[in-house]
Amino acid sequence: MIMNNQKNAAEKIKSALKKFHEKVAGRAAGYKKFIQGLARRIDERRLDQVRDKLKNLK
Amino acid sequence: MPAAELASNEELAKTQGRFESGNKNNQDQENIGETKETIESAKGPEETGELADKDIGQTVKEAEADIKERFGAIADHGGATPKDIAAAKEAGDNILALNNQDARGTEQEIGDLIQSDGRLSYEEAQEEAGIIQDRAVKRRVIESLHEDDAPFYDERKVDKYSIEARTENIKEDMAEELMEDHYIKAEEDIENSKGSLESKNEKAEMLKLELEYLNEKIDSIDDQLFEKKDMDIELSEYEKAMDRSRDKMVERLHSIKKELTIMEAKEKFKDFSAEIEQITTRGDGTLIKRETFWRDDIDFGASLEHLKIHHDGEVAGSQFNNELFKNPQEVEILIKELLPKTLKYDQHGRAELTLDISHNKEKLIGWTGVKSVEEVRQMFPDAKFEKKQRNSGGTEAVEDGIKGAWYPEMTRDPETNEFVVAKDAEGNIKNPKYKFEPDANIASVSREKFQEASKTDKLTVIIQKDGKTEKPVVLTVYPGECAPAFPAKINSELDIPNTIGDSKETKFWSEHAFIKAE
Repeated sequence: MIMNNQKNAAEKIKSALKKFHEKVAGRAAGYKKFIQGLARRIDERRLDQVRDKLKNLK
Repeated sequence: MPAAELASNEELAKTQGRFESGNKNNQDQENIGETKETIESAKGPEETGELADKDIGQTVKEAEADIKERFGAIADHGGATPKDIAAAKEAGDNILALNNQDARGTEQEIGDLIQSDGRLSYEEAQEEAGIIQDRAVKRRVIESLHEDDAPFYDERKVDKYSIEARTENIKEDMAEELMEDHYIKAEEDIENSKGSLESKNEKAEMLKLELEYLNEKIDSIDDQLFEKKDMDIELSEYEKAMDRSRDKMVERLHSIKKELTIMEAKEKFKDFSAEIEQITTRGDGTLIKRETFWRDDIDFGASLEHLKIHHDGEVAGSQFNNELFKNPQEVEILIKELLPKTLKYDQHGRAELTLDISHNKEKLIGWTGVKSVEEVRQMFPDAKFEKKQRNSGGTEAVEDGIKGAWYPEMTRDPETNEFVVAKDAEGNIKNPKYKFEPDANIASVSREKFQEASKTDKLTVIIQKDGKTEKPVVLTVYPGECAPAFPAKINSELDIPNTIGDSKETKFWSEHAFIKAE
């Protein structure tokens, strides 16, 4: 009886932990994408700026 | 990292938990195996919880470092405007806040899981496991003490001793002596180890375990010898030895049961106290105190059988409260607890004592079932009066011109320890005319009225110095105040005065009635 309860509790703890890990990992993946997107936009913007400068030089 | 650590820890616990559970036939091994498993698994949720908390903290930190690193990449990125940096910071901060919020939520959830689910805390589980282990150890102590020291508990040893005995040609005597010595030694060892136990509960537990052990052993010997005994086939030396050891075990079993009854009753009556009044119902009622006697010498012997008539309500008269006293032995224990160490006989060689008992229990001592005929008529106008045998089982007779009944001599059965009619070798009643009692006044009233009008917390005990043994013997015990003993003529080797006919007892009981609740 005690042992069954303990096993159940340990299982539930592990499952709560797993959910937490998934949420954090999901957010980390989201932030990574956001940062990558932001970096790409910055690069594109810089590229545009360079292109504009080149155009002006011509 | 954390998941792996959790898994390996669990495996370790499982492995340790299976410790020594190989031999399923061995109760001890099984108990110890189970205990270890319980202790190990008791660590489960608590440790899982601790590891989980560490894991949450670590995960939050790792996520924060990851976000900082990614944010740093933007901050250091050539061409990133303050607006870009602010956007990256805001998104990172949001994520960190959400992570922290989830971390607290998960910690809370895990904490609740540890407290709830009807699961015992680690300490409680450990305590429970400790009790199991303790019990297993005690059981093993009892078994080893019995088996190491008493060869007749072990077939192989019995066999060995019988062979030796046969070789030496002193079979019976030697086997008997060896067994006797070893038995005494075993008992002493058990007593010593029990004596060292401080708590009464532990002693009771040891006794209960020993009782269990003896019951098992007796059953197993009975199983082995049953057929031969049933068919009257002669037993071998070693079977005879086994049979004798069985008798010893039965003896020990009875003494354990008695000891447990005493322990339980002492615990039950520990808050009881009494004021004691001594009177005499003999002569003109003047009391002169004479010789001193010791409480511990008082022999309740035969009176325990008599006590039964004050239980269960089958016989008219005072009744003990069955809800307070499980059996007559408990009445004996209570009286011995309440009486002072020394008492004095009166000038008639008796001590007629009434104990006015104070206690913290809701239940009263009993109901007094003796009142004057006059009093009964006033209290119970509907009472039905009869003149008849007070106890069943008597043979109607007229003795010295008085109508009444003869009762046979009773004796204690050594097997069951109960009082039974004494019989001779042929199985006939040994002494059918042992005690003559005249018919008594019996007033029948309804149980409700009886119980309401007759409540009492008083108890009377009448002790007399035995003519032969000179020991104080209890003649009777009943709830209520002192009244002269019921008249009787007893044919015994002991010099018991005849009180039927013209006596103070007869006068009293012709004016008084036993009340029977119906």
